[in-house]
Amino acid sequence: MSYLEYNTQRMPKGAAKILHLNWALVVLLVAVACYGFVMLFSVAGGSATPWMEPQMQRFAMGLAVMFVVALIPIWFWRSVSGLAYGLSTLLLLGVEFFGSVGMGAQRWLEIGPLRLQPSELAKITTIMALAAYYDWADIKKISRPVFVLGAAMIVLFPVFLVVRQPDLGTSLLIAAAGGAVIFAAGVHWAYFAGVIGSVAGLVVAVFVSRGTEWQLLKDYQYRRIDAFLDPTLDPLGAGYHINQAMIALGSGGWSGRGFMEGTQSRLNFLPEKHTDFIFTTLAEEFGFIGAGSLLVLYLMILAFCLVTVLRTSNRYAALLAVGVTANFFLYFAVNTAMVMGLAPVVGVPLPLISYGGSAMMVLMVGFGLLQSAHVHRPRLPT
Amino acid sequence: MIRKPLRPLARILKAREQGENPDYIEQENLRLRRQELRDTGRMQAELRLLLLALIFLSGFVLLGARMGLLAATEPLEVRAGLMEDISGARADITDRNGRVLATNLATHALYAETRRMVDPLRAARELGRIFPDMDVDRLAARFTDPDRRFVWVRTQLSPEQKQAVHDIGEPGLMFGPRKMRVYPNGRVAAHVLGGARYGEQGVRAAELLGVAGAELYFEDRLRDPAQANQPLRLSIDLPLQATVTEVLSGSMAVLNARGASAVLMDAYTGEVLSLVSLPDFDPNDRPAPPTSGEPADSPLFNRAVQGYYELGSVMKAFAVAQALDEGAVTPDTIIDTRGPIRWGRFEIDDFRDYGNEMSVTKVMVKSSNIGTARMVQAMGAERQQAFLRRFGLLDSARIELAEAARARPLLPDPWSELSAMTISYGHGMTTSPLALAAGYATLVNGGYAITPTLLRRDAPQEGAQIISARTSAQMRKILHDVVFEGTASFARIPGYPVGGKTGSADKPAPNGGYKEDAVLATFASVFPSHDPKYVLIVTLDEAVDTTGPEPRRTAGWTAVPTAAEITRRVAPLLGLRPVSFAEAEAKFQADLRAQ
Repeated sequence: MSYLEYNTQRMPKGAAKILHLNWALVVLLVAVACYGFVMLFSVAGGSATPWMEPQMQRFAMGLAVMFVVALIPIWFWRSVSGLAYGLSTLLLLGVEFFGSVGMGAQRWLEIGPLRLQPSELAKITTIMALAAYYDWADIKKISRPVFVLGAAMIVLFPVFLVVRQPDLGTSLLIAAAGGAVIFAAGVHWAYFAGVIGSVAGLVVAVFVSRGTEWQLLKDYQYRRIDAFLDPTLDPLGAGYHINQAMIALGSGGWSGRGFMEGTQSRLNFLPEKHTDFIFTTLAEEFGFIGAGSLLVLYLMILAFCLVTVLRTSNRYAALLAVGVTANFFLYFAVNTAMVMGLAPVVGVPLPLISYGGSAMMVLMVGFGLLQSAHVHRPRLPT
Repeated sequence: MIRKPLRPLARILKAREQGENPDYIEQENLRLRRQELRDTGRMQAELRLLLLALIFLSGFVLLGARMGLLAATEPLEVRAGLMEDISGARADITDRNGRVLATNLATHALYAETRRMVDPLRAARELGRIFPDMDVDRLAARFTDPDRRFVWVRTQLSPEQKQAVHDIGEPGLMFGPRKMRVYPNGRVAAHVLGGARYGEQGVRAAELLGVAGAELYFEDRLRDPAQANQPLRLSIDLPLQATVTEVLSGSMAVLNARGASAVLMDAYTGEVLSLVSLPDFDPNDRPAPPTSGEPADSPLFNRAVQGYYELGSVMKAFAVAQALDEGAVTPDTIIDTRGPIRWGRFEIDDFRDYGNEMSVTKVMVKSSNIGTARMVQAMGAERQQAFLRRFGLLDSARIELAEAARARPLLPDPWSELSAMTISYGHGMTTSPLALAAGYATLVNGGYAITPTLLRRDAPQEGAQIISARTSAQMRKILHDVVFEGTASFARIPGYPVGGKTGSADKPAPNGGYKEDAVLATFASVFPSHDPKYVLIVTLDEAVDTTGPEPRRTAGWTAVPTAAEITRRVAPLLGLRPVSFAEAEAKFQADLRAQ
């Protein structure tokens, strides 16, 4: 049963593929992006520059890229998964050795006029590689330690390189999205129990190592953890972001202060108000109703993604879609949890809304892959 | 696991019998098995996907709930919980005409966030150069202590110091805005204002708290955010206060006094226009309370309010007023002043022998102990006690100073007849100069009770009538006569008739009895005497006039000239018109006739 798919028996070909895209998802993505434009307009003090216009251009470009990726058959993407993964890993290594330092961390790679953030790219390529790996592996053998080790290597290598940059937030996101794919692939429960247990152990180790020779994190990362645990401890230092953000959220109330009326964000109390902390502006100006409706939009995007996952019987496509979905969810959840004081402050943008090029492009490529999986799903003869 | 055979023998044989190729059975079974495997795998995968979806959903629910919680929270509560809630606000204090007595100055505190420091040792060294009183080693130790994130370095910086610290270029050294309490007039009105200190300190502000005087008494009013921009207006008049302070400190130096105090009060409104206690201090740099010696000798001690002394003959006015008010005597009644009066082993005598009998006015003019003792004897101890109580002389003086309520008069217990007699001339009971001022105000203002106040008010106090207007008029005349015929001749100021009563009380010795050569000299005066508007009390502690052939310690030689000099200077400032002696005398006669 379908409204759009009048011919479900056959794989669409050529331009007809466009009709078979998941159009509801496209509409939702555009809606969220528009929400973002409005917010960028507002935080610039009612001006299209410096943020809204470039963001619109990027989104338009991202949308085009998504369509192109969607129209290329999913089996092509499966075959280039390994290549893409290898390339992104090389770029990460490039950052390690030649990267430029921005805001205390090496994250950018400059190739001619292009400024690349390979860690963003690694998010999607890691998922692609994992999906291809499980498509290749015999389903009966995937719970064997050797096979699990292989998957772990695929995830942990980029994670390790990103941690070295250092960018704790992105590395955790890569690891978590990878974990979701491995979980969906059907690896035995015991491995996950083990990982969760050792993560708990690692957290303890991180705290124990503080101030010793083998300190695991940088000082600023510890301060962020401290500030997360008690934001009042250091209201002007590491706790500053979160305190200001929560004041903004609280002052929004149920219906908000009104468009362009947010004081916290307008008066520059909030750092990175156009990137990582844009959600606070949104919540302050549109209140719980505005923030809640964004939440609903995201939930709908997630639902359509999961529908795509369920409808394809292609293992690679399904796992890839799971990874893209998990990645999207993690972006959103970690960002909002962070500004609402539920998670430590790690640099994670709000997907489709925060100002920023690399993250948006990678996200749209991910949605393109998901669309490709949707368009090119195997049809069962009736 | 029992596997279903791909080629079940029974079916194969049956197929062979029918002449069919048995391989199709194997193919069909293989297809079924694959489908079954796929279905179970699919089911498992869907289960896991469902679980993932559930995790996503619970994430959304959690975020939504948190959002709702934050939206429901009042932003002010969030602020209160997360930000420092320290207010450095404190209203200004002005004199009665709006001249600033206490105000705030913006300044900065210096603190260090040790984790942001680049070179703590160098910073400590440089700070030591800017602030020579700082212990560099100790500072360095605190800067490098790994357990410390935060170090207060200095509570107040001058602009020059701030620039110097800024020039060190150490990012960990930070400035916190501060309000600093400033008393621009220095020592003038020090005891009235008291002083201020820092309370709880934060990075953005520090509490300013009063430590004494009006600053402490009006703490809530001064720190009330709603009235922060509204200065507290006192009754003090700054030029008068400065004048009184200047004259009094000059006298104190010339007469070698240990201390001195003066109270200038409006006789009708009870407003204290000037309140001086010497030695004084600078409230901008309030000294620490003394740890040794007499607390009453400390500059912090407010002699006019906290100092309860046996004031001597100035108290006679109350005995005479009572006798007049109760109708026992008139100013011309003749009193038996043969002395000494013997009471057990105690003996009451006069300074000199003034003869065997005197009129009531003469008793005051000559300051006869025997005369007042006789008058009080006639009325009794109980009535005297009740009379003095109505004047407020048996309780702590009520005034808007934090110290006032803590000091109490020393009263005889039991209030015997002998006590009553000694109290009639100012011994055996202590009184503060401020309470005395209020009492004299009542004596001359028509008999209305006065509660001293430090707040400006323009209307007369509607106090209870304690003595009759007639008694008050008689008292005015008697006090006038004391100056013009008696012990206070130095108070005769051309154009400004003064009335008053002197008191030269022997100071009590620490082991009982009285000291030989230590006198507390008091002059309680009212002016202009024919229509008194102001009360001026001057006390000098152990003042000695050495200009004569032998040292003179009585009030007539010390407190009276001092008070006269004050009156001479302040009367024009108060807008009083000079009058002739005849004019004053006419007013007296008119007042007495009117009763």
